[in-house]
Amino acid sequence: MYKSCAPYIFTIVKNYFCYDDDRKDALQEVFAQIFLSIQQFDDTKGSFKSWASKLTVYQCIAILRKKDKLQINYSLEVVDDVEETALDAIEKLSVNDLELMLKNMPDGYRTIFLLSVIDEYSHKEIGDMLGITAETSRSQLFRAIKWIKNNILNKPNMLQYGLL
Amino acid sequence: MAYYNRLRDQLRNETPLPEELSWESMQAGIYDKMGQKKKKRRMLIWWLLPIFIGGGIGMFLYFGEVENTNLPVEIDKQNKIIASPISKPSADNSKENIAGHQSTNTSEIDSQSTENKTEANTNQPIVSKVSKRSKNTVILASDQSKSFANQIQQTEQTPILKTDQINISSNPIDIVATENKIANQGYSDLMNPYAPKPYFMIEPLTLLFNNDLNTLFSRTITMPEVSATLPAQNKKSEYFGSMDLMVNTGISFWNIGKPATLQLNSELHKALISEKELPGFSMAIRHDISINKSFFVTSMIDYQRLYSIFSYDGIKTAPKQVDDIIISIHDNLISGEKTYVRGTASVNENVTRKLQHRNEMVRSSFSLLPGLQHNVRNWAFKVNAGPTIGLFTTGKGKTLWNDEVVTYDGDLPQYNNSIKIGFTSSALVKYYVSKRWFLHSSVLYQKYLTNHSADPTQIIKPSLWNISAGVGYSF
Repeated sequence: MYKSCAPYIFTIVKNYFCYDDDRKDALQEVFAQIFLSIQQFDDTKGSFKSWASKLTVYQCIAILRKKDKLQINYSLEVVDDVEETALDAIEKLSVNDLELMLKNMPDGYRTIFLLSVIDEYSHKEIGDMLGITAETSRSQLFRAIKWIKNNILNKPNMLQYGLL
Repeated sequence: MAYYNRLRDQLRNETPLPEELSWESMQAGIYDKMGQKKKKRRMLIWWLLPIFIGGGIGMFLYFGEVENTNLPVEIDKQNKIIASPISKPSADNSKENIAGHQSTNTSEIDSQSTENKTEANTNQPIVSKVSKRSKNTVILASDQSKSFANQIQQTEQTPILKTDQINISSNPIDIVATENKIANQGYSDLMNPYAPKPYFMIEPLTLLFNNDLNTLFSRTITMPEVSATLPAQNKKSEYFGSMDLMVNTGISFWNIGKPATLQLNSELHKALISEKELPGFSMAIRHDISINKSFFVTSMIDYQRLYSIFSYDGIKTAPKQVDDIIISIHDNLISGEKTYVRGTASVNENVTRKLQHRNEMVRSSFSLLPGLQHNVRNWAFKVNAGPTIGLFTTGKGKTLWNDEVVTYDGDLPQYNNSIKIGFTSSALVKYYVSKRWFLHSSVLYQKYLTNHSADPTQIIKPSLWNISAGVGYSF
């Protein structure tokens, strides 16, 4: 099972963690959890892949929380209107650049960005996962995008030369 | 969005696992983490266990004892009641009945009686229902076409308690008589005499209320006629003056109440003295008298036999006068005679001493401890605290007194003769094995607040933990 699932799970894990040691540790945690919880998997509710990927995301968040890397800034910002616009702005980046940028993002921003944009969880679901409100999740995503704009779009050379 | 789809695809693109993440290199770590997680789960269970137990006890106490005083009474004439019966009494049901019964105060009785008369004239049955959760009493009027008697007759299809001896009729007087008969027969399995007692055992009827079986919380239907004719219970009179007499014995862990070691470093006396406490045992006679349902006062005489190891390791230098010893010799070199001069001289004698001795101390005290109690079925829980006065303290052993190791048997030389006052608190749980007899176990802490030391420069305030068990009798 490990050999068949590990590559897929590793693609999720590597997005949430930058360092190889962290990734290895997380992969072990995820598989330990999968082996312990495999009896809870119900194939009538979905595929094993989706169950495993969800468990992986939860486990990654748990590890980040344990390491106190999820610093959520609880501020009340109305971001409904600007979210789409901000996301559009990122599209100026090449996909490769954005992937590179993700590695340099603060853990909190990257987690929200991945959960929302890549793993397509709703803000409510993200809020439930992280123990925050949907509004805070939305606000955090806005801040993450703002961070990208400030650090990448305004400093393209730094990215180019790997200085970021 | 196409941009993000591309990004998504790229980020989710499966790449071959690096070599260091192969199963061979990962399995040890995975199994290790599985072990850690299992351990965490087990630990979580151990953490949750007391919470569940505590919650269970809390719920048990909450639902087990319902005091429905001044219950609001509502009359709903539209709901239909189909009464069906009743089985053998159980402790839970008894308790519910008690709740329903005790909740009725005198004024309610009067009002209900009036209502009953009215309802009886119109041939409308009245059944009261006590919900434990809401603590509300609802008097429901049943179908106009069915009389109360009819409903009762229906219930007779299943035995009500000892139905061969009891014939329930619709006549309220008969019902009361029946009820008293049941009460007299003592169908309670509640052995704790302080625990709420069942006064009647009319069993909960199963209600079909809007086609819904209201049995989830064992709602009880009692008959207002019955409640109305029973005397209102005076809780104070029920508990006031009831007594428990207990004897117990246990193990005591005490603290002498002074520094465990003493180092002497004077010119003439260098020593290391210590006294280490050993567990002892205790016996107590305890008398509890209830003031009301919740409050009681304990008077207790205890007897403690406590032990310690006294150690002494030191060198004492003492000047010693020696009589009739040669203090000088006169040697006549011409004649060759020697003259010995004898006299008295003072010499320093160094005495090295090392000893260990087991000391024994016996003491007795009297405590007066007001406290709180809670009775649940055949269990009772008590906590109390109050002053303690030392009655006597004697001992046998060795101690350092006036720079000397002395042996004592009787009064302790290091203790003064003043009155010794302290503070005692205890927690006790008892379990009734019969209606009067019970077993109990308690934890007690005692701390003396006055200084025991005969040496005003030293402070001795002993304390003690005691765990004990014993038997008791309730009067």
